[in-house]
Amino acid sequence: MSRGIGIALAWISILAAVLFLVAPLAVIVATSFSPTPVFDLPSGGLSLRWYDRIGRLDGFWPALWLSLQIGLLSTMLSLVLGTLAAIGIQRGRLPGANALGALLVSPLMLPGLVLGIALLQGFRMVGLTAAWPALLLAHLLITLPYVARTMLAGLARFDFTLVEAARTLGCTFPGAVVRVMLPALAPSFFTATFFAFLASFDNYPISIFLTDARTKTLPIKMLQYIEEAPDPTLAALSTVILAATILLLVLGDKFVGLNRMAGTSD
Amino acid sequence: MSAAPAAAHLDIRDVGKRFGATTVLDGITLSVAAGELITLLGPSGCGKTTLLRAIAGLALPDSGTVTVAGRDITRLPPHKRHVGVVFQNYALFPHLSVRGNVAFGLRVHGKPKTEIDGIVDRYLGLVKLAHLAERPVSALSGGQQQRVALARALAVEPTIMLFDEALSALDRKLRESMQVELRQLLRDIGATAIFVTHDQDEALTMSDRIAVMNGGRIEQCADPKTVYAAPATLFALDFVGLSSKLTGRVVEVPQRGTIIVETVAGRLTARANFAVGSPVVLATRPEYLALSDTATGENVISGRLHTTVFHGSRSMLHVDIGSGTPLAVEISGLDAPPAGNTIHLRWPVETGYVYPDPSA
Amino acid sequence: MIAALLANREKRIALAFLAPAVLLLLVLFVLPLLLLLPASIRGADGSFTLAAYARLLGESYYLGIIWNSLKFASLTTLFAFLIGYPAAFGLLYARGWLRSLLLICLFLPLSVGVIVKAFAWTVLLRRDGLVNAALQLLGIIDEPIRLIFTEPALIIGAVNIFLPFMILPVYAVVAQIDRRLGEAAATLGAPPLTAFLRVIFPLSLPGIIAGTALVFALAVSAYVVPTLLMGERYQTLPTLITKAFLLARDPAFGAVAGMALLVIALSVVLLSTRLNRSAP
Repeated sequence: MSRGIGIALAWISILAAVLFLVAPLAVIVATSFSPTPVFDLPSGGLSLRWYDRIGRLDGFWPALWLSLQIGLLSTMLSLVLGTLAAIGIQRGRLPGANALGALLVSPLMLPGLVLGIALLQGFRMVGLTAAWPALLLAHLLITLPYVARTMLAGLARFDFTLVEAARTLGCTFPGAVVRVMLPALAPSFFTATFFAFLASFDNYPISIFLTDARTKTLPIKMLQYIEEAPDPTLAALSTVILAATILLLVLGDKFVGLNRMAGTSD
Repeated sequence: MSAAPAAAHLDIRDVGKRFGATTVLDGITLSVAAGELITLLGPSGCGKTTLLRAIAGLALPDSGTVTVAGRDITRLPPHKRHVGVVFQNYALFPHLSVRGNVAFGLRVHGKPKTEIDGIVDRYLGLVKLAHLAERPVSALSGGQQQRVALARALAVEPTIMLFDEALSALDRKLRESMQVELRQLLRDIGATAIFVTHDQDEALTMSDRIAVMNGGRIEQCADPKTVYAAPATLFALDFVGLSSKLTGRVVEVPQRGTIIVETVAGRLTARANFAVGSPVVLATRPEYLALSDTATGENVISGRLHTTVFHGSRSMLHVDIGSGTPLAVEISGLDAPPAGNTIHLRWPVETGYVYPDPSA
Repeated sequence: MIAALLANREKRIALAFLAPAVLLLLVLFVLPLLLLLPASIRGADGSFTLAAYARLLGESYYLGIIWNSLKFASLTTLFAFLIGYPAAFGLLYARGWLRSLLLICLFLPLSVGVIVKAFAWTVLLRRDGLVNAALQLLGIIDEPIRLIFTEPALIIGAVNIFLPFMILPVYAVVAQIDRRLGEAAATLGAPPLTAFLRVIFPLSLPGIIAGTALVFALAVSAYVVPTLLMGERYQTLPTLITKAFLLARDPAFGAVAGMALLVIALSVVLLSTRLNRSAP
């Protein structure tokens, strides 16, 4: 009897949670097709006018380009640094390896704003005033924990005798890494890239302290648009980002399995 | 079988290896003939896996040489050795299919694509997995994965095959049938093979010779029958098969090659060369001990039957021969006397072994 | 110790692999955070002063802001737990395509920016928004009520944004619990509720601790959500920090508020690791 209630409660909760979580996304998509500028749900007809206006938002293209550059570059650098570090931790049997692992992941748990002001102050001290390099360095701090966390988990499952097997079959050591280790870890790389890039692409609290008048990332621009003149153009832009994310998630499910992504990404 | 690898003879000379303060290999010397199947048998930590890795090139020895077909390969990286390895957990590449795994070494060696398919099919046929070629390896059972690992190692036609506890992950029935099958297959293709195992049954079944290893040394290297019937050391005796042991002291040397030992069970005669006064361990196999009707006669000892464990065709008797010293005796199935009785046993002279007493 | 490590080839390689990432974190993470401390005790003329601390901890206005932050984060965590904990079990019961669908629904909001979602809630919660319309339709209210810029609206939005961070850690842990444990408890005579409280709940504690710590740490440092859903008048530590740096040009005070936020977040992290260590 009470077991039945428990199971019913679990089902109700997950369904309610999912509806609750998806609701704002649905609203975004719906208003993006609205023919009027007042966020009406489309009742009369659909319109693509707001999509047309995305590109004409003031300063949109430079902001998008900057966010893509910073996001992709910092993710790629973090993939290299984070993977090497994860290998060092998992294979080196060093004293204090666990503490180093915790250090690699810790920026994730600390308030972004505090990291932002700490970096702002630190960069000022050493005279780094240019926004672009400051943003790139800061975003390394955003992306590295995601990569480190995913790769630590992935490498913990990776069987290093695979590399030895490849070597006995005729591979050099670098050859074995390229032919066996990298492909076997591909799911982890995908998951790490996905979350690291999104964290960078979406970051507001750290970036806000490091931008200048001409160098603004997309989230900062978007908050500015919302505060200045909210209209469904934002919804249209969000829908485009949403569509791209869904595409990546579908690929991720095919390629990695969402269950595994859930496990390695908390 | 036409796909015989070019089997080669292997010479290991004085190979030593230390990890920090521990000596893992203590001057190992071993010669393996072309086409021979040899087992490195020993407990974990005895150095057998390290020796295997030194042959494969996955661990560099600190001293000594490894020679294959007359060529010194001691310092050669693994990919230049043409040594096939079947790993304990098979180490199949999870991102490749069965075919992809078997073809891996051929691709690395740059064989033309047209040839690869034929070779892969041949070796998958050899291990009876041709019908599963396109499956992902994760969809296979343990026994099937083992066969893929074998086919993958064989496909590059290595000069020597190495098996690192390759059967130990299989369940008992499957392991026993794989032992027979694998031995036959390796015989058919004439491979030189080295097995590493801690499983004495596997060693006795599979090999032409067994090298019993302990503490980084080879204690005995001989054919399975000799290792069982004439263990060279106390360790070899204990590790392979069951044993019955008595400690004692040599009290008399009636003639060269014969000694008389004083034990808790009385004076026993054995064939060995020891000086009077030496502390020794007298040992034999439980099945070499026979029940005797009388308490008198040469080498007859008496004791109280403690328990009997019935194994069907055989029974194991646990006998207390005085002052709490236990002795195991194996007799044919249904003949066991009741527990608590005093029984008499004849200690064999020719199949009794004598070793120096390590505890004295 | 380093010399001993360098003597071993394998450990030397491991150190070389670790060095770039660790150096990067030392220079970009540890050092700047440490430098916040001197900044927070330096007056305008460069002399040592605790004036900023005295201001933050002495004036009731600022204490109210700290209280706001803690209350907001606690309520968000509480509601996220109340929905998220049973939901994680629901996710466990779902199989096949349904579980994939549910997981997509959890990931999707995670991968949509906070700004976008907060913006969506401003639309949903407006006087002529969907929530008001629904409440009227259900007959709960007669006239549209003001939702946006109220605390319930803030909590709804924050729970919505941080809920996946509660569900996923709990799910990751409960998915590992052997289902037979519950059955074993039942065969030992435990009624379902007892079996749950005595077996499943204690085993899920690591997930609860991780999820709670994560949601609290995220909520207490949230900036975008309160800004968009509560507006200018409502202040939390994050909005205070931002103002001090970007508007008031008072970095010393901002650094002090930053230290306060850092202390809160660090205590949560340390507390959660301590609790996790003592959990079964």
